[in-house]
Amino acid sequence: MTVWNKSAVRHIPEEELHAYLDQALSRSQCVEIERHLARCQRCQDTRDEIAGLRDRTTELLARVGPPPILPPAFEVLKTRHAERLRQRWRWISNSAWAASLVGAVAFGWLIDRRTHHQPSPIVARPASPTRPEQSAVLSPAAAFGISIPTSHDESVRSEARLRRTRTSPDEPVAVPVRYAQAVTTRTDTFREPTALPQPASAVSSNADVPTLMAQPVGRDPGLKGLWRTILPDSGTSPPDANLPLVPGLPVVQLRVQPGLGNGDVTAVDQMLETGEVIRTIAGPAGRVGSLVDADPSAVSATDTQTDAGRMTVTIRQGDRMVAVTGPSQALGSLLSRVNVRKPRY
Amino acid sequence: MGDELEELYRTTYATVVRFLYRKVWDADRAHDLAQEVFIRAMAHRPEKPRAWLFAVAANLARDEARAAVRRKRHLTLLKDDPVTLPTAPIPADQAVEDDERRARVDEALATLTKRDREVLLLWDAGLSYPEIAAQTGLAVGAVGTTLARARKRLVDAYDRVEQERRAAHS
Repeated sequence: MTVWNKSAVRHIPEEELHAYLDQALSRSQCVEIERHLARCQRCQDTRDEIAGLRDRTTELLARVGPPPILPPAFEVLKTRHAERLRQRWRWISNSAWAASLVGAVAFGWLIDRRTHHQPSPIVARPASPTRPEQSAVLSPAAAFGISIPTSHDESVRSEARLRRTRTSPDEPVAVPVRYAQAVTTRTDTFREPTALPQPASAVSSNADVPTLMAQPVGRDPGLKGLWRTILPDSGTSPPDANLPLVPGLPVVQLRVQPGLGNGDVTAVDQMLETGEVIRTIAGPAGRVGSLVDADPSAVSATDTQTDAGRMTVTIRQGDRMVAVTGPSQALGSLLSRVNVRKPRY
Repeated sequence: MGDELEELYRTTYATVVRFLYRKVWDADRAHDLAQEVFIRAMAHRPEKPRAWLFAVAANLARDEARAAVRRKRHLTLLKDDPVTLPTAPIPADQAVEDDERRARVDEALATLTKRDREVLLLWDAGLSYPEIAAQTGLAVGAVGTTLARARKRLVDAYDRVEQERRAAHS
């Protein structure tokens, strides 16, 4: 910088003059340059030349400026910025929601898979293809003070109520639904008899009077088809007061088979004090009947006991049926406690 | 920060638009990008907002140029299409003259090296030597040298293009 100033033959380099004119030099550098310029005509000419070049460049570049447009108000940009922040937050929250949903499904699948592989005392028993030879009309259902939900909508709402009840905040987190099964449920797995023979005494004369049939069986009804497994959150309290089951007994397992157009079937397994399991199946008569192999027409048989140990009692009203399976000795006393009251909707 | 940025917006917006316009050659696009620059500044709250604005503007313009190249390729492909596009309406004489002048400056700018052009445009946008140095990676002392060379080359190139045009007309 100072070389040109000390030597008489040196002059200010052009880039120094550019920087000088661009006001990019320090005060002391400017003073030094101005001192030299004051006594060097050549550097003055160069300075003027550079100043012209600088102005020319500015003029040329100004030609290619954009047409003057009033800038938008700063508030407009602020609004756009705020909107962008909102969108980003929405995206983050949506992503978090999706991730938690995936996590919940995966967790539910793992839990359900684990519990699904646990041997069930009822399901593990092989189903007998033979139909019971004896069936008996015990007594009118009115003797138990029961009434059975008859409409499909009530059944659907009943399941919805079940799920709502389980997810109430004062109870532990419910075990998630088995989504894979729910999605792959097929209607052709349901054996819905289209021409189900109806007992004349139960249907044609008075459809509102439930008909009870006691069917001694040497087995438990197999749960055919695809079921959505819903475990109760605790083993002591029933998930829904209106679900057909035996009050006071701990619920071991609750399964639902969704129905398409004709109502759902619920299967509740409860444990007796003796460790034995009593199962209550409720739903459309055709499907429940096919599950328990009950013959709706066999209403004239009169046997109530079996020495096979377990017995199924079906209670039907119109197109609805409740089937209770359990130990013969305990079933008689428990049957009166089965809660098959019509839900209040 | 908010007030500072607002003040910077009032004083610098036009400059940023001009800086961008000389890179993208589209006034509307330059305005859009300039607003994008300031919106990003609101989110990032840079320590040196002025230098930051031009750095981001340069990046946006570079992305825009890449997109333009892609569009050009697309248009090249479309050229094979036999569909005749409607011709644009002939603008007024003044507009033609402005366009030609702008095209000559554009052509002259294109003869500069990338670095020279960048330094020249940043200086024209009002950035200081240290700011230009920080953005381009040059030493502060080299900015003056680069500017001196860029100015000379731009003016020489423009004069050459102008002479060629006159020769072509005559």
